[in-house]
Amino acid sequence: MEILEKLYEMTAIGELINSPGTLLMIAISFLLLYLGIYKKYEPLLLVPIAFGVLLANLPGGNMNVIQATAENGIEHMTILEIAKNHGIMNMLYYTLIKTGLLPPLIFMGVGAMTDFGPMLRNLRLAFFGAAAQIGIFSVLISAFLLGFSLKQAGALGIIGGADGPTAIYTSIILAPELLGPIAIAAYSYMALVPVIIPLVVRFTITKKELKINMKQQEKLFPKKVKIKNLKLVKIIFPIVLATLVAILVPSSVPLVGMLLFGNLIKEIGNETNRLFKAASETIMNTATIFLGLTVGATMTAITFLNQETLLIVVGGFLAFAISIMGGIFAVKIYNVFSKKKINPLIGATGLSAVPMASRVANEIALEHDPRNHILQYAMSSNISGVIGSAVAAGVLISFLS
Amino acid sequence: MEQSLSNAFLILFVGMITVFVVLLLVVLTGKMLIKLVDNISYDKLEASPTIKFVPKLSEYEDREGIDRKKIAAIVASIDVITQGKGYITKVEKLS
Repeated sequence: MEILEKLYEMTAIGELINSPGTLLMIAISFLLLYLGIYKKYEPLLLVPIAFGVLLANLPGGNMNVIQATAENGIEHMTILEIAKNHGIMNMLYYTLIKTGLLPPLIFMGVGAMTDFGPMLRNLRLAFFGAAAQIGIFSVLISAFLLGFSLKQAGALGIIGGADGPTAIYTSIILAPELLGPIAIAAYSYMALVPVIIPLVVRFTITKKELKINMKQQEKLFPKKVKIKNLKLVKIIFPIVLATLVAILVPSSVPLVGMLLFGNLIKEIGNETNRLFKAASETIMNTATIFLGLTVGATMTAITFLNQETLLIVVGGFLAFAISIMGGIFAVKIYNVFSKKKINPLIGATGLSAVPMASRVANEIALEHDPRNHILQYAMSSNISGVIGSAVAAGVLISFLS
Repeated sequence: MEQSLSNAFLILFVGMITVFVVLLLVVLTGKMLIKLVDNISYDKLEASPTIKFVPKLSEYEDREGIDRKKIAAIVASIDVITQGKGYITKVEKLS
């Protein structure tokens, strides 16, 4: 009998029965795994996050991330001490996440996979990437009024930028205690772009506006400047832009700087091909695995099952929807003053979520006019949205941290 | 509370202005670079006696009677493989 008791104590069954919250978190991890694997909702990140949640909530595994407090003194420990006292997941979290290392590395990979060509060909559309950041700042105010601190409200608002690494980077600095729910909300809504954009479009754009044919407008009002050497422009552009952004918003340099560096090594071509491959494949994939697992491991029953999480989910959706509306209304205002009309769907893609937002906008345009291919135009505001959200994050960090 | 709320509005105002200014710079930088590079490239082409102008696609089509789409594919492939440095001087039908 004593042996049986000892065997029972060795397993996690007793602890699981005594803590229904943990059981619920395990169920949530299964649900996230289902969404990632079966429904293919951002599987590259949702699967590691979900598995991180599962590992963190299995009692006795010592895989859950503990937030640093004055009592536990984790921030003053060495890496070895953290690993020894709190397990390898905490070691990874405090080395890779808390230092803010992984999001810029992911941005480098994103830069290496981004083509600024569509933006350079349609530069004026880049402005709508700015208008679409309104959701970030308006939800900051709403969240503050709902009782979040300014720092927490800033971290919540950045979900509206529709950029996972930016949301995680901002949360690490402003509100690490909300990192788990914010990451989940950011990536879930990014996966739901094909649902959210059509929903907002239905209430904000008329059928007549949806039929505005971008190529027809190009023929009616042709461009004055034609690019003769796009390749060279694409090499010089990230260098000049990184310098300018560094001077204007230094706090956004870790994100924008790495994004533009990644893009530069892609554009140079054969000479830096090995670096490009490392940035876009090896480093990007490694960073994604560790980011997902450690962010997932912050989500235990105590930190996740509370009212704040619910508010983050609602606030995140609002931030997303307001950002899309911001871009749409900016186009509408532009159309009032300009002879050359723009399809408001271009504004809807001003939030990051590259290239899914552009693809969704293109599909909506084709539904209303099978000849109206707007993908290359939508990509312009979509790519500028990546820069816009990183700059917005820089502003939040410099004001609130 | 009031102080924090006014801070939040200040962040909204400054944040949106900053994002617009940075993207305005993106647009201006892009336009300036395009003009600059176009001028340099044009001057280089004019000055260099070794670089020949590539015939237009329609010229190949007229001379050789080859499908325009095939010519476009060949030109694009050469452009990608040689990273814009190479060009086609002649396209010939062998049979």
